[in-house]
Amino acid sequence: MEHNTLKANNIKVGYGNGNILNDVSIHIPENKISVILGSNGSGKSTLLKTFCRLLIPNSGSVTLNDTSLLCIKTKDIAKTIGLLPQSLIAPEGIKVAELVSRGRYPHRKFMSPLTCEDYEAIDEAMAAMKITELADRTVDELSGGQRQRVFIALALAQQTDILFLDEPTTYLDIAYQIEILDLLKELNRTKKTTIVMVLHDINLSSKYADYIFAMKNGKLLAEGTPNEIITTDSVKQIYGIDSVVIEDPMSLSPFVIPISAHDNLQRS
Amino acid sequence: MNKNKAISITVLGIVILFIAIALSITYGTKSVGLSHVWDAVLGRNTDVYEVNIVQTRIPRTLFGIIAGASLSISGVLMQSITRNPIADPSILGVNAGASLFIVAGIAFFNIQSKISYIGLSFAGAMLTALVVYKLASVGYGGPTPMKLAISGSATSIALSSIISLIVMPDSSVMTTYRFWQIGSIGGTNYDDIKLILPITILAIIVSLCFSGNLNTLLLSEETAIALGLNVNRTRAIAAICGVLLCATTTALAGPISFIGLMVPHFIRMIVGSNHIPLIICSGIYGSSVLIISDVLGRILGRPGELESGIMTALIGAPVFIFIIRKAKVQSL
Repeated sequence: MEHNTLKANNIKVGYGNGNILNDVSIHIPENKISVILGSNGSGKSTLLKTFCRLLIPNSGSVTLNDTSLLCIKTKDIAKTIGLLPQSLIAPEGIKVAELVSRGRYPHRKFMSPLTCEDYEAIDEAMAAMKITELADRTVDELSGGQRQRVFIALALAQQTDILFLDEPTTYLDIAYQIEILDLLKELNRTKKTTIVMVLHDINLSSKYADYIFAMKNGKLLAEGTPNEIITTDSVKQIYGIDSVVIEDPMSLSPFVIPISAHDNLQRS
Repeated sequence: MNKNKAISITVLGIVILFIAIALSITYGTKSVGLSHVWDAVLGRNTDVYEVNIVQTRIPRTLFGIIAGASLSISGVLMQSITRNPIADPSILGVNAGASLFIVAGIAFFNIQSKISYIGLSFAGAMLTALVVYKLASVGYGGPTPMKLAISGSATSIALSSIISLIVMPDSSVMTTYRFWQIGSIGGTNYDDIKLILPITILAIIVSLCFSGNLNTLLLSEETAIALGLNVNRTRAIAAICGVLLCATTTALAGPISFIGLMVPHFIRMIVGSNHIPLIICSGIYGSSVLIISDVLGRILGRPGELESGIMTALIGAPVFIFIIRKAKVQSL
């Protein structure tokens, strides 16, 4: 397995004049699961989009193996960096297998049909997301969790070393959240895929992440392992709330219990 | 399984198209039997009147095939670029833009040649497409289907009033314009066909070559970029093809509405959103629909004829309402 180093170097990113990200430098840990945490508007989605070249920095650069993304053909980037965006659109009436096959786009030659390799990649991606038996169903009739798995399979069929996911568990119930995150963890452990996610749930982040980036007001507040990052102090800094941090008895990772203004009243 | 379906729909389409062609050559103000038609083509028919009829109906039918396919494929492209089920050359105001430029050409520069009609039509259509797209992009959420439809209709209305402004004071321009504007494939000849056929074929081939890119574009802009698609280039090339296809037809036949809306919509429902079968089938069925509308116009309008543009609007308007109701302004 090759190592692809992805870095942001002093990037400033924004829409129009103002910068949402201000001078952020990050080195994505290879073959690990990283989670970007932060409150709403902290710039975490902007950061993810910049890594995936959906946004171009006003200054600074994102580099893949020390070459700026701007200097690499977009199709070649697509062979290394994959993305599950937040809004997922499936063309009306499309079948699951056909949708997953669209992930082969960067590997296909102009106007040529799907090759054996393509079919293998598609089958493997569907197997990894456990949707093989859904292959001939139309995407419109799937449940939210199944749909999410289909789109992750699309990104997997792209066969990239690095996979970004923008809030992959939003709108899913807890069972689907665990299911998706377990599948991603399995992917990371078996294929050594570097995974970078934006998650809202701090406890799921703590449970699944090897590494955490905490964002605040467009700056990188802290980075490190969940044990280093998720503390009463940092939760106060990131989200501005008081909390108690205990140990998750199953994963032994930190577990945050937010303190509500009404907690003490109820006890007394 | 999907593939077989697409093939059978294509074959069925070709059969229907042949029936439509036969109807178009035989039916009309005066009907000519198929065997007589055949004789006329082979030069064995001695009835001069019948021979004349057949000879004018053949180019008209050929032009109908080209125009129907062009409008329909143009609709496919516009729908895919804007990811909008209700995009079509008439709704997006592209036809009105083409019309304005042609009217201005007739009124101010006294243009006559078909090639300058086509040039003006293309320029007007392209410019309007850009303006409508930019207008719809203003504000939150970018060019959503609803905003595109609204900015298209608004632009259309504005352009139509400018057209009236130019046409009204001058009765000779009015006369030329009136016949052109209704949308008729009746007045076309072999020269017209020779002129637009190469452009049409080129635009269709380029669209087919870009079908893989268009498939990727339908997934959402973010996914398309992540998959390494050059989104802007794909959109630009597809838009040029789409505008070229409808502009050439509009230049020679006048604005014919709704074919680009209804045909691709039903084809999408049947063959799905893979662009190779989608473009091919839309082309074939678009031709049939236009030719059949033309025949119906000839039959219903006896002893004269109703222009095909009127017929497609009559058939298309209810379909448009049906699609809007069903789509609930969703995107594709």
